[in-house]
Amino acid sequence: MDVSQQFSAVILSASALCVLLWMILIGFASIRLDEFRQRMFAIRDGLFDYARSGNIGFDQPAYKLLRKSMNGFIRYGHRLSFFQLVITFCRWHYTDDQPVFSWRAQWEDALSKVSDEKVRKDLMKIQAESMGVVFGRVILGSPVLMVAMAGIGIALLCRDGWKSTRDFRRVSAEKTFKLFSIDTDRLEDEALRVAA
Amino acid sequence: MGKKDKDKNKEGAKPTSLKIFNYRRYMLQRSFWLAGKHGRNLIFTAGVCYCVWIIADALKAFAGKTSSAHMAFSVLADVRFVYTVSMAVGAAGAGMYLRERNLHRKTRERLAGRITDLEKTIDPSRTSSQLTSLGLTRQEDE
Repeated sequence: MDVSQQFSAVILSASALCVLLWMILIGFASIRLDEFRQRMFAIRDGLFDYARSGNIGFDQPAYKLLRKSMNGFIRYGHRLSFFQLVITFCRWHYTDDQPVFSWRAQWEDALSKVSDEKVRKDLMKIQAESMGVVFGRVILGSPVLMVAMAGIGIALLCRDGWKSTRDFRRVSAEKTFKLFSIDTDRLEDEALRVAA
Repeated sequence: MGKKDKDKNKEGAKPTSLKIFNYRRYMLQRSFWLAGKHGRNLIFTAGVCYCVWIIADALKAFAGKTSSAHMAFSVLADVRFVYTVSMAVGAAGAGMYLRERNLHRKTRERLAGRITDLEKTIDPSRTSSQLTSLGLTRQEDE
């Protein structure tokens, strides 16, 4: 390889690297955000249709709280990444900003006001579905979390064997969050805070 | 009342709710906010700067060994078929994606208002995600 060939190889590699960086950091991130919001909108619309068909009143606290939480996730979906979570946890640790712990108590209180057991279960399922989308957004956006989840997934397979894809994905994601001390209730708290 | 009690009263008179401005904490808070807001752009810019630095370094290394006209020509001559095809396919894909995304946003803008109005007739206290009509993050939420 002569001097000019070496030079052209440098130019082509550097330009390809720039394009790759743009794709990963800007282009792909934008697609992922759109996808996240789209999926969250679909769940929110499902909740609306569920209430419209008479299962739960629009003025019920459980409906309002669930919708508010989803609105928060949609609004600040761009800040829902492992990097942003680390920044948020550092902010809570080193500055005066403190998390507001309100989700769990509010949610349990709202659920207790729902008299129908089936409706309560359905609402919990919708909430789990929205958290599943949040899990996907956070984990698939970070190579560190992806590798950790793959490891945990393999360990779970070896221990419990295969049961169902949905459960496997959910349990692996929850254990990955636990491994990195990410509390899902804190995410809901933040979603509620920003949607207020 | 002794002097000590007077001093205590003076301290007690201070409004406890008034927070003392902590410059260090404020700077930390702003740093986290900036890192959160511009972290990705910062990494992208650093990557581009690194590429420019590599090219500049290569230019310096080859300075005097070959003429600039020869180098420019050799870069063009060295653009291989595989590279050209991959770049063309990549660019076409990106172009089609951007066009599709614009169409999707226009559709969203056209339908979102109507859906909101219809939903408000059923649920007047309907809450919103506060995105723009195109379904994008608002400037103040960035």
